[in-house]
Amino acid sequence: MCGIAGFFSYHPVAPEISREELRLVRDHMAARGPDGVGEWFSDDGHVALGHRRLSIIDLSEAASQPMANEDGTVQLVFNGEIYNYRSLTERLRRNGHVFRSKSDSEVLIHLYEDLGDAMVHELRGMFAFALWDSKRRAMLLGRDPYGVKPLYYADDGWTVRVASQVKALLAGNQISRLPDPAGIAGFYLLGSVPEPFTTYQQIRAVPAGSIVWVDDLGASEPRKYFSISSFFREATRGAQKLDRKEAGELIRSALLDSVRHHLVADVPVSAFLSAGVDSGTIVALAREAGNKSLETVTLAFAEYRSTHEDEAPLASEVARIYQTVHRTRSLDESEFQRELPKILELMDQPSIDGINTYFISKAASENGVKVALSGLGGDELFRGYPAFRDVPRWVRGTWLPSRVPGLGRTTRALLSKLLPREISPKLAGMLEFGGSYAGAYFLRRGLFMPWELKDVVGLEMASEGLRRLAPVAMMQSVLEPDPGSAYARVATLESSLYMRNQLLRDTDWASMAHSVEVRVPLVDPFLLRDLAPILAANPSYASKRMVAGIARPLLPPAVSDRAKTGFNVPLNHWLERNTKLDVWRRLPVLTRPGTHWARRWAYASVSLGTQQ
Amino acid sequence: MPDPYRGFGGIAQYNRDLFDALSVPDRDTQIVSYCRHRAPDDSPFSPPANLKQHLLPGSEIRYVFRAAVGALKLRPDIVLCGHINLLPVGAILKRLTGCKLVVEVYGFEAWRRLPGIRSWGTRDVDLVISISRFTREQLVRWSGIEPRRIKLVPNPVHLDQYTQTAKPSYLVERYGLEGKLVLMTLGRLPGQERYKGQDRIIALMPKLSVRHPNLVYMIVGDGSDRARLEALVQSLGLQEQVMFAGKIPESEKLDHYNLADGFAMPSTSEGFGFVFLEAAACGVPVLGGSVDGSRDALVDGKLGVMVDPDSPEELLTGLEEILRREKRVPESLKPFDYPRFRAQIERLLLS
Repeated sequence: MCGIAGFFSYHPVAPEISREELRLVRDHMAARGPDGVGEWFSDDGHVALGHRRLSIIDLSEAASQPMANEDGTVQLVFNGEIYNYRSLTERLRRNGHVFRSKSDSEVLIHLYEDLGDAMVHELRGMFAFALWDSKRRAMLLGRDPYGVKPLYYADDGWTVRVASQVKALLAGNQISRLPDPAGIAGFYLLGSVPEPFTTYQQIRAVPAGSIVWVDDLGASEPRKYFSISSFFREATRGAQKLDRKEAGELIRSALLDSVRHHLVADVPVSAFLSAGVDSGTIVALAREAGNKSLETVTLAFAEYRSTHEDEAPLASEVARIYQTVHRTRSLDESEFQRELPKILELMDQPSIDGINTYFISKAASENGVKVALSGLGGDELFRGYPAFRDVPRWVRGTWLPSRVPGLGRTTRALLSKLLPREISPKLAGMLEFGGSYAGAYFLRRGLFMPWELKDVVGLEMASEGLRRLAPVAMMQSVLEPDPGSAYARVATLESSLYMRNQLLRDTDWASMAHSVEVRVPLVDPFLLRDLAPILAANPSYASKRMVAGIARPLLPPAVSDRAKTGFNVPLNHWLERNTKLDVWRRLPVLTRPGTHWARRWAYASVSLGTQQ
Repeated sequence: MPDPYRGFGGIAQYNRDLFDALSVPDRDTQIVSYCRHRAPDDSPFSPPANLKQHLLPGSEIRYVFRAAVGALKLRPDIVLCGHINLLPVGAILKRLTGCKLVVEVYGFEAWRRLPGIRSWGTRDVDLVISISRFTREQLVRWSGIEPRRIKLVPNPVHLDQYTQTAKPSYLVERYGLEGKLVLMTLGRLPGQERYKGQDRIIALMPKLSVRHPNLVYMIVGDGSDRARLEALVQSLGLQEQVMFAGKIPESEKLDHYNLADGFAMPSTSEGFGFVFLEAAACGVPVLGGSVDGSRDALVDGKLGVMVDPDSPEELLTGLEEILRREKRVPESLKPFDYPRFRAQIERLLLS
C-alpha cells in the first residue's frame, strides 16, 4: 500500500519534467507511504515516477520502488497488494525471469514482460499502477477490477500527470483547478463524486477495471477489462440450482479462500470488528485460516451507549468467541471536532461518509496495526441493503405509468408545487424515475434530486452538471450487458456505484491518513467468479442468514439476528447541536424539518472544507 | 474551412500546412475542401495535388448548406471543421454518415460558449485539434468535451525558411535606424483585439530609454487600434522613440524580424502567438505573457521570457532581459519545426 506518482511529458514541444513538481506531488502522499521514498527519471527527463512506500510484503530495500526489469526498459510504481503473487512468482521463474526481491511489485513487471497489458487478468488483488515501457515509449496505467485502489490522471495536452490522490495532483501547482460541474452535481446527487469525474475538469479517475495507455498522443480512451454486469450475465447462463446445504458449503469455501488470500503479508494482519455478520464472519474465517494472534478493534460512541446502535458489547462477544486480542475505542464529539479540520483536508474528494473509517483506522494505528481486514462488500453480495427489496418493487409498480410520455415529470412538478413541504422529493420523482432499475436505484440512493440541485449549487452549475453527468444514463451504463436478474442488477448497481465511488474511496483516504492498509476479502473478482453462478441461480441464498451460517463456531444469535444498522457515526446529533457545523442553516432547502442529516452534512462538509 | 490559400494570417498558414501534411505520397487520401472565396490569381501558395477545392460563394448560410450537401454526397471518412462555428453542421453529418468528426480551434473563437445553436454538437466530437493548452482549457470549461479528446498540434515553423542575418541595410536606411537598438512588436492592430499589449510597452518607454537612450520601439502592422496607440505616443511625447511601420509586404517580413534586437508582445488573449516562433527563428530574443496561449509558444519560459502582462514591474524587467540577451536561435525551437507538425497530423488523422 503506497502512494504513487507518474509524469510523462509526451508532447514533442513539452519541456522536461520538473523534479520539484514530482516531489511536491509525491510527498503530499507521505501518510500513504511513511516507510520509504523513491523516484526515477528517464535520461531525456520526459518521464518520471515517484513512490511513497508502506512496507507490507518484503520489508527489505530490494522491494523499494520505482522498480525496474532486468535491463531497465520497464519501470514501475505500484500501490496495492497482489494476493496471488507467490503462485505468479513461481510461474514466472519457470519462464526464466530472475527476481531481485520477494515482493509482489516485481511480479507485475515480469508479468508485463510476458503478457503485455493482458497481465491485469492474472492479478488477484487491489492495485493501481503506472508502468513505463521505454521500448514502446508509452505509459500504462491500470486499476483493479472493483476500484479498491484509486488512480487519477490529468492530461493538459502536453504532459500527463498521474497520482493516487486528486489533492496530490493539485499539490504540484501545475494543474488547472477549474471546477467540474459533472463532479460537483454528482456529489450532491449521490453523496460521492461518481468516477471517472472528479470535482476538477482536468482530473479524471482511471475507471475501475480499466487500463489507460499514454503515448505520444497523450492519454487514450480507457479500456475496460472487467465488468461486474458481464460477470453476472455469464454466471446466469451457466448457473445451477443447488440445495441450501450444497450452496452453503460452496459459499463457505469461496469466502475462506478469499480470506486466506487476504492474509498474505510480512506484517501482522488485524481486523475491524462491528456487531454485524460480515466482519464477524471475516474474523472467524481469518482465525480458521491460521491467523493465530488476530487483533480486532471496534469503534464505540457515547451517544449510542445502551442503544441498539452500540456495537461494542456484541463485538466484544464475537472477539471472545474467536479469541482475538480485542480493543474497543471510544469516540466522542470533542475528538470529532478536534479532528474535523484534518478530516476535511485529507478527504480527497467530497463525500458524506468516511468519518467512521477515519476513526477506526486511527484506533488501529494507535495499536501499531499496519494491515486490517474489513467486511466491506458483504452488503453488496448478500443483499444487505434495502435497495435489493425496494428497487425491483418500484420498477414493477411504476413500469406502466413511467412509460407514458411526460406523465412522470408533470406529476412531479404538480406535487412539488401543490405540496412542497409535505411530499418528499423522492416520492415526487417516483413516476419519473421508478420505471427502470437505473432510475429506481437513483431514487433509492439519491441525496438531492435533480430539480433540487439549483437550490444548492446555483442554476448554471446545476444545469451544466446535469447535462454533463446525465445521472440515470450513467447508472444505466453499468447495467450493460444486462446482468440477468433482479438480484444481479441491484448487486451490480450497488457494487459499481455506491461501493466503488463512496465506500471504497472513503476507505482508501481515511485509512491511508493513518498509514493503515485496509483489505476487503468480500470485494474480490475471484470470489465473485465462485459465487456469482450460485447466487444468480439461487438469489434467496444471497442473504446475511446464509453468511451467518459460515463461521465455526457459529456467530451468536444476537449478531445473526441483529437488524442492519450500518457503520454509523452520530453525525445527525452533532449537526443539530454543534455551532461549528451549522453552516447548513444558511440554505433554506436544508432547514425543513425532517431533512436527512446526510444532506446537511454534504453541504456543511464542502462549505467547511472550502473555508479552510 | 477558413480560406487557406487567400490570406496571410496565422490560421490560413496553419491550414495550408495541414493540407500539405495530409498529402502523403503513396497514400490514397483525397481531400475535398469547401471555401467561400477565390484565392487571388497571384497567390504565392500552391495547394497539394490531392486537394480538390470547391468554391461556394454567397452568404454563410448558403455556404453551410451547400457544403453539407456536398459532404453528404461524398460520404467522407473524416469531416474536419476548420472553425468551431461549423460544429453543428459537422455533428449532423456525423449522425447521418457515421464519419469521424474533427474540429480545429485556435483562439478566442473557442473560449466562450457560442450563442444559440452554434454550441450544439460538442458531444459528437471525436477529436479536437487545438493549437494551445490555453485554448484547450477554455474549450473544456464551457463545452464539457472530455480533455483527452482534445489534442494539441501547435503551429509549425518552417525553420528552413528562416535565417538569422545582419540587420538588412535597406530597412535600416528606410527607417533611419543606424546605431539604434530596436524593440519590435509585429501583429495586427484591430480595434476589437486590443490585446497585443503595445500600449503596455509604450507606457514603459520613458523608463527603458533612460538605460537605453538609443532604443526605438517599432510597431509593425496596421489596424483600427493604430489611432489610439498613436495618440498615446503623442500624449507621452514619445514620437522619437516609437515608430509605426504600418502593414508590410509578406516578402519583407523576415527582414523586419532581423531588424529587431528584441521582440515583445505582452498580450492577454493570444491563441498561441506564432510570431514568437518566427522572431525566435531569426534569433531574436522574445518576450510574451504568461496568462494565455503565449505560454505554449514560449514553452513555459524556455523559448523566451514570460511575464505577467498586467505587472509593469515584471514587464520592465523582462524587456531589459531580452534587450540584454545575445541574438541566437534557441534550442527549444526545434520541436516546432514542420516535420513534427506533419508527423502529428499523420498520427491523428491518417492512422
